[in-house]
Amino acid sequence: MKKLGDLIDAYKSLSMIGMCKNAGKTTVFNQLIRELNDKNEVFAITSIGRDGESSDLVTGTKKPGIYVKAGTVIATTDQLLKWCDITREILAATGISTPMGQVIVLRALSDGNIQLAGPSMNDQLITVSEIFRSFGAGRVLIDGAISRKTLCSRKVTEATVLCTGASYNKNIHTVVDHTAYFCEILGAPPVKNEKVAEAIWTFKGDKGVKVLLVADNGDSMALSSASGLSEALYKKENEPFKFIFINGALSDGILKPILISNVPMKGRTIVVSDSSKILLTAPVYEKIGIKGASLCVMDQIHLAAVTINPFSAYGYDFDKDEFMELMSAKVDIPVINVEDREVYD
Amino acid sequence: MIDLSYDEKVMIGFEYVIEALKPVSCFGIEKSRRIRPFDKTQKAQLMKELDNIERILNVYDRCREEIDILNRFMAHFKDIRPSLQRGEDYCFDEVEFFELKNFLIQSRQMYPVFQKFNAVCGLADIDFYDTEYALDLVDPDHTRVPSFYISETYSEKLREIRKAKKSIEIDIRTEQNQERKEQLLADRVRIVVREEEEESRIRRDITDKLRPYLPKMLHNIQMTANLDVLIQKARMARENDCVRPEVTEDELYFENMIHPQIQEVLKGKSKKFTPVSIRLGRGTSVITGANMGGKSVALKTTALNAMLVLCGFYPFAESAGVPMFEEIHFVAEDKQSIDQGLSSFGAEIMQLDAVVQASKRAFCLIILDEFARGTNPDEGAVIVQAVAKYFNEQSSMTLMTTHYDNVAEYAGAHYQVIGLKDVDTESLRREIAASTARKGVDIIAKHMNYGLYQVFGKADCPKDALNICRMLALDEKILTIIEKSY
Repeated sequence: MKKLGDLIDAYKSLSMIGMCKNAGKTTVFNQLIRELNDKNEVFAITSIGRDGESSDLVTGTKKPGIYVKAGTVIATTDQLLKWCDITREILAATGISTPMGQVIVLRALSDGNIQLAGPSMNDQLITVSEIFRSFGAGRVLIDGAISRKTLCSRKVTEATVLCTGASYNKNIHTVVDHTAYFCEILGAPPVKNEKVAEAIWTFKGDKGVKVLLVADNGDSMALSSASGLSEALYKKENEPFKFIFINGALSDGILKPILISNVPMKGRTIVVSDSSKILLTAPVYEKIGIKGASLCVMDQIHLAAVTINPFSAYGYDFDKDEFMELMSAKVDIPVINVEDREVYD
Repeated sequence: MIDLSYDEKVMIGFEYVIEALKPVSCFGIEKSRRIRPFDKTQKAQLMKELDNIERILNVYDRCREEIDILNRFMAHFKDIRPSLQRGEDYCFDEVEFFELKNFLIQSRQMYPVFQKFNAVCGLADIDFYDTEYALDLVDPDHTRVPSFYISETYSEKLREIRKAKKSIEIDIRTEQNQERKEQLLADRVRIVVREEEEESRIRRDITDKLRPYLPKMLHNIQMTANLDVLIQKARMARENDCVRPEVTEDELYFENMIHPQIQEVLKGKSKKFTPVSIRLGRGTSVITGANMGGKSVALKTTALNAMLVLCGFYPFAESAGVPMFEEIHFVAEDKQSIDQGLSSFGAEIMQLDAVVQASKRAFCLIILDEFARGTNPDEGAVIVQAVAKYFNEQSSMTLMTTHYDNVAEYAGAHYQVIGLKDVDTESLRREIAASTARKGVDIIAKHMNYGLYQVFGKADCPKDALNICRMLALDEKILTIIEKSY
């Protein structure tokens, strides 16, 4: 997989997330739109949060706008309609409200520029995707957020692309290392044991349960705070509880007491609802493996590729070949250079 | 009509009934939250409401299918009233046109179903305006598809602009030279500006043409709300075997009425609600009776069902008659005032004064639950006797419960809870003795008859308290002391 176009062939729905602003997310998004345009298929686009401003509100750098072809199905908000210069047909008012107004689904009747803003929760994205499908748009592209607050789980898009670039940090090695670490976290595998998964689903919505210990056979024990966790894991009779579900964010503070003590962790699995809940620093994350434990998620995302942008918004650039080489060595998924003209135009 | 406060409505179970009404449309839901008693000047409207419920009940089985379809249609309406209101002064935007169009399409689908239903049912005062012309305005191509766009049918000029736009967009797609492409994009922007101008002119024009129809659409929304609430009132009446009430002049009566909320709670404990029958005239009626006898339940049940009738519901009873009260007052231990630091007695006296003032100006239903319960029994009895006597001389209807003796003789009517009156206390005592003390309370509750009977002539409060003490095997020494003092 060398080109973005290959992603289109491989997946029906794709979402993007960025390591930082100006990582080239919108460039990737536009490139994917162009690829889809060439296929003459009805497809739909939306975004998490706001997108499509012609210049970046924070840094003032020029950002590519989103230009669509007639026939494209779009979800954006009513307040942003006045910034869309396509002739359009309103298909649905979703009732989903965002800081930018209600999410509206429309069809482009002409080519033109659009501004995207969409829902920010996975459930809402699923609803919008269903509306897309009801209007014949099987393929979906979702422009993701810059932060990792909302990730598109596999229930929403089949695959996710991580966009990184020189804007993240002046030091190329920092960019590569942090991106690689983020890829690792995003690639956390799902819980395979069905009985365990079922036991966790039952408790997930219960805010009173902070930690749930689950055994292979689905037996479970709920803890109302994470502070008693290492004590509970230490007890001999709790040995069968191989899975530790953290209901909420997984921070260094929760894991440190377990990882720096002699709590038996070998063969145990730490579980969180999805990768966005993993807020561990790299050293603590690495300790999990060293202790013989592993990390799983309930809602997996499928990371299909990393795109790199060697140009930064702050007046310095990386060597594109060096960037490509370093990045490719650190991750085992395809790396694609978004500003590579040969691939691009 | 002075309405009950929200807290009072919760207390008597009125809010529970409103919750259970479950209108299907957003309009019906809003209307149900604003249900208020009919005024004495609105007797005709109240009768019409009851007539309409009766008409629906008459055809309920025959028109089951139409009712289901109507419910389905009504459930899908979106609340477009904010847009309609805005349209009075401003121009609709395209999302508002979209929502108006959807509303009009759903309406034109629903009205024929309603007409068919109403040809059989004959509801009075429910009618819908034809809004086909309004729909034509937002759907000039007569597609009747639930999507909206500013069609070229509106103006030849728009058609030409869009043609030019399309042609330049095709050129942009194929142009390879970056400079010429930029020029084409710039030209396109000029066309887009013209398109926006023409679209905005058209939006203004359609809004102006739609404006005369906005009141009709609002009327149809109001009718949808009314129809929705009527259908749900009928459904509720049917599911609970409610009865059409009589609107009387000087008498309030209920035969075998129940309180749906308390019944629900009892059902959860596998217990049954004992229906209450009562008949009140103007003046004071008193309910006395055993502890644990459900006097307060009788009061709440009466207040709830009287309130329901005045709000145009069928009450939960086998027969019912309610006069057009101008006000309803329910005085019970007021937790809120106590929380605010008023003594319970102080709060009660303040409430009593308000009720006295009300009874001077209006025909009221006044309900007093264990008035002056917290004060010392000697004084309490005297106060309650005075209250009973005072209200007995007023034209309002007052229903009160009390523990105190010699109150009933100042009242026009006296009811007692049947309680343990017909129970063989000795056999009951043996049953309890064979069980544990804790279970004893349940056993008594099981034998307690919560029904009311009317007492004629002088009768003191039943002395079930002592019976209960005995049955629960209170310490013999205390019992002896109690018996000596009786």
